[in-house]
Amino acid sequence: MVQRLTFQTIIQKLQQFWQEQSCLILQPLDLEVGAGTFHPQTFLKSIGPEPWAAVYVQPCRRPTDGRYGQNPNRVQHYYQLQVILKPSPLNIQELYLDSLRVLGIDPLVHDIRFVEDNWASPTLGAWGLGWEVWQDGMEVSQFTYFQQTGGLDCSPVTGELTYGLERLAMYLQGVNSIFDILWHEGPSGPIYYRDIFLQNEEEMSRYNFECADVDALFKQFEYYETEGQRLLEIGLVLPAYEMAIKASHVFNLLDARHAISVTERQRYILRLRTLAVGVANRYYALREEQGFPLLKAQQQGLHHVKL
Amino acid sequence: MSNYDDFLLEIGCEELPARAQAILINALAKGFETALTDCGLAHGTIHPYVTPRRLAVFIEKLQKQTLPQKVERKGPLLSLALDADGKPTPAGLGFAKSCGVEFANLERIASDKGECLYYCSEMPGQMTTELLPALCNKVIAALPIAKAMRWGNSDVSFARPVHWIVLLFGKEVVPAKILGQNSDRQTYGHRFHHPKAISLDEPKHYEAALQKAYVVADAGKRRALIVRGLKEVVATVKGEVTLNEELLDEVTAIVEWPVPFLGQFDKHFLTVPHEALILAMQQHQKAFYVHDKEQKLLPYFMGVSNIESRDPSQVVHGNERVMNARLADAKFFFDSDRKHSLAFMAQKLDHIIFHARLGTLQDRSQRIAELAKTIALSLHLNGEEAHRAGLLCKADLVSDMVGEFPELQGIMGGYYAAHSHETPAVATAIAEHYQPRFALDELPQSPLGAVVAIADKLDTLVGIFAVGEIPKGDKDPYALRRLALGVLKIIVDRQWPLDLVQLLQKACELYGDKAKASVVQPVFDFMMERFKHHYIEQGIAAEIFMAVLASHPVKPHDFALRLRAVQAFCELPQSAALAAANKRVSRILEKEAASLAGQSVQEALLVESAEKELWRALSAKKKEVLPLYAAQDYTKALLLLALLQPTIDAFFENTMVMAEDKAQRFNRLALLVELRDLFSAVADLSCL
Repeated sequence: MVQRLTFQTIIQKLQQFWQEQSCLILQPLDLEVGAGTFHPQTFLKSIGPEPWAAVYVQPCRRPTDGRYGQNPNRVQHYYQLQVILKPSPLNIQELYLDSLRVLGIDPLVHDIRFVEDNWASPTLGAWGLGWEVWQDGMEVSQFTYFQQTGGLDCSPVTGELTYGLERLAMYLQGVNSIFDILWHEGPSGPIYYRDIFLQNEEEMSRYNFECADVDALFKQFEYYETEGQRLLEIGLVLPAYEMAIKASHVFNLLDARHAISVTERQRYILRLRTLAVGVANRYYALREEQGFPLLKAQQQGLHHVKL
Repeated sequence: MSNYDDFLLEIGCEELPARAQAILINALAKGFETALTDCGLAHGTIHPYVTPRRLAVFIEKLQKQTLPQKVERKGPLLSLALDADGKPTPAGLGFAKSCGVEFANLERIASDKGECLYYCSEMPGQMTTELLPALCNKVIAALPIAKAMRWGNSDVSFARPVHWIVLLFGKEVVPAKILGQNSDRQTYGHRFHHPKAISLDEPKHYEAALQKAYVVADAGKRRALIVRGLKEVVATVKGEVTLNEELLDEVTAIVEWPVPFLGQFDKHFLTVPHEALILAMQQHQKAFYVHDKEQKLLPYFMGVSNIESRDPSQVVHGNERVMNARLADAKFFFDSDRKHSLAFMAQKLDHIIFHARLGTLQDRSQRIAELAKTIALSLHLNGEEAHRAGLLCKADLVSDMVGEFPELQGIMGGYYAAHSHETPAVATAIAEHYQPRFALDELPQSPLGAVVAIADKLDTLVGIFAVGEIPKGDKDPYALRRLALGVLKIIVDRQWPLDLVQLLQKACELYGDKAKASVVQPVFDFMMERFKHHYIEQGIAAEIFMAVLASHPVKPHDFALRLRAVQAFCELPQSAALAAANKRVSRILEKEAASLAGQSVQEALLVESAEKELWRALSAKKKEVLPLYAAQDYTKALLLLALLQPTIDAFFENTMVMAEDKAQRFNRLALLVELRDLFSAVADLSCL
């Protein structure tokens, strides 16, 4: 490693690389999500025949993973860099490895491995097959070929690459704690991850585990679910999907508060799934009515997706 | 020119799941063997190869074409094929048409019912190259892929995306489309060491060509290399390695070019229970642990990388850092779990549902505690300690460590109990109570551990039977079969005089209205069925088991003693004759059962010398044998009873049991009852 890559340079380099592979650079979703997959630019775009290629950073929230800023590896808020390629190109693994090379990772020095790891999101009615990518024993990315989204078979198949940015940065910078990651080396000195997020971890962990109002959260869950179903009925698919996302986060908070018993848990997941499947089906129908615009655009050569 | 050529098929793909590799390659090799035999193609050895990125079979000396085959067909009888004028009927013409020849070309042959039409043709041999494309596709389509996937725009599905197909017969490519790819002679080496294509000239050079391109294609050789490498590496720190076969298989399946290396971790993690450290190393990092001669863990681990790194120290440092983080996680869990007592954790069990109809884990712990106490008291063990261990045995399920490593359930409970100042007996009992966890697992070493283990398992058996979720076929989600046998093995091993029916009744009572008393018998029968399977596996004849079962022993240890006795009895020269006599007795008594109630032998009514002799011998033996029964020395008892054989045979030879005189008849039957009862106190020998 010739130079020490800062957190923000890593993001820039990856975005630059994927832009050169014809990906759109998109921005994060402005809602709380547990993974980049929830972003409509992944979940909805993987439905139906329309091609898509995009890269974006998504902040993720996993309330149960909070450790009050005390654990060097676990936090309840972190970043994923998500790449979506639909249809998945046959050289997708090579492209991914090239993206690591851009970060200065030489696979003849470092031991890079594709280790089986199949992905399933019961709340999204989605599953896929793929790997976790190991670099010298550390999982730095998730690699998934979507087989189903929202209960619908994926055709063509979307390839999803998810970089764990903090893991990657810890590795590249040779630090042992998330909080020691160098975010940026500015004129007024270095800014570390701790400077930006330590207080957030402390306070949010307290909120998630101790203070979140369980009764209010249960009411919110009911509201988002009902509202989502109502919106679906009047054909407002995207707002309905936002309700599904909100309900999902509320569920995660309730989980962190241990407010949902083991048997109830399954039922809540099923309710979330029902909403997501409803959204997926309506979205497909809507795009079909419109004649799958992105497919037409590609056929007419108006779109720059060239995979 | 030779009639044979070598054959090679290679499916090149993205990294295959480790566990699927052996299954797929075995099925591929077997599939070819069957398919080739079905086509009548002779062949030499089939060599299977599998790595993360390829499945291949190299078949030596495959026949170049199938032999011509004689095809014989019989047609209708002449009486139906020819009319009165001797001209062909529609049936006759139809047969000729179906054979594709003129009627005149048909021959005749004799059959059972008279002469009939006959046609014999020769099917020419087929070229193997023509058969291969369809044959390969058929074999591949039949592969048992647990989870198939699609990719890109393709409709093809396989375990992972397919990138190339090599299909060679001799020096020629067999043109075919397989899994969406056109066959060729190009393979690829190691992903990083040799990414360029390799052109294969013929099948037999496959393995060597890949070896040059940093791929050890033979999984067996790769495994052996790893074993040798690990042993060399471990020797450098004077340590030892216990090779976990499963891990070894997995590691073999995630490398093409294995390079073992040694890493070190921070010594202070050795304060964390070694079971947790070993799991973190094996499961999370797929690494082998290192220990000294006394099995004490050393602060090293061994991994197997897939490259000959230009800077191996970077691979080692990277792995060490991850390992230290993993172990730090384990230590974090261990430390934070120990901030609370095990009794405190147990209180949280009321949040966890054991089964929707059977209440929470707290309910379950209380039942286990009560049952364990009852068992302990009946064995003159410490009832309070048994109760305590039962109450706490499930508490570690709410700990962070068990949340992370479910395999450590019980084991962590043991550590946390000791830390919470529970007595050593209670801590050990908690640690051991899941044993035996698999078929060949150890049984609990401590008496209290055995008690809680029995209580835990019986509670599950009774509860799950009560809600009707009885195992069927390979559906046994609560592993009831293993639990049933576990209980029996523990009791037999400990030689405890426990009455299984009483225990089941107690377990049932503890469920209150959640379990009906009628569940006891089915659970008992289920357990006896497992007992039987177990002994049959040990080589004991089913009849012997059934003979003992027929005498209804309810104490498993007693059951085992009787089995041993009957087994020894069966080795005796008298056993066949005695089994026959017992059968005879049981047949006679079956018919007369109703009229025999309350009858006893009256000496005055005995007239024949043979019956007098039998009565005398029986009475004498009874005196010898009854104390032996009381002492459960069934083997010696049966040995003594076997000596009755000539007396019994003489009785049947010389005495008419069904005498005309009613009193005499009943007296003789009563004599037989005596005889039967004396024998069947051990087992029903008429079953043999």
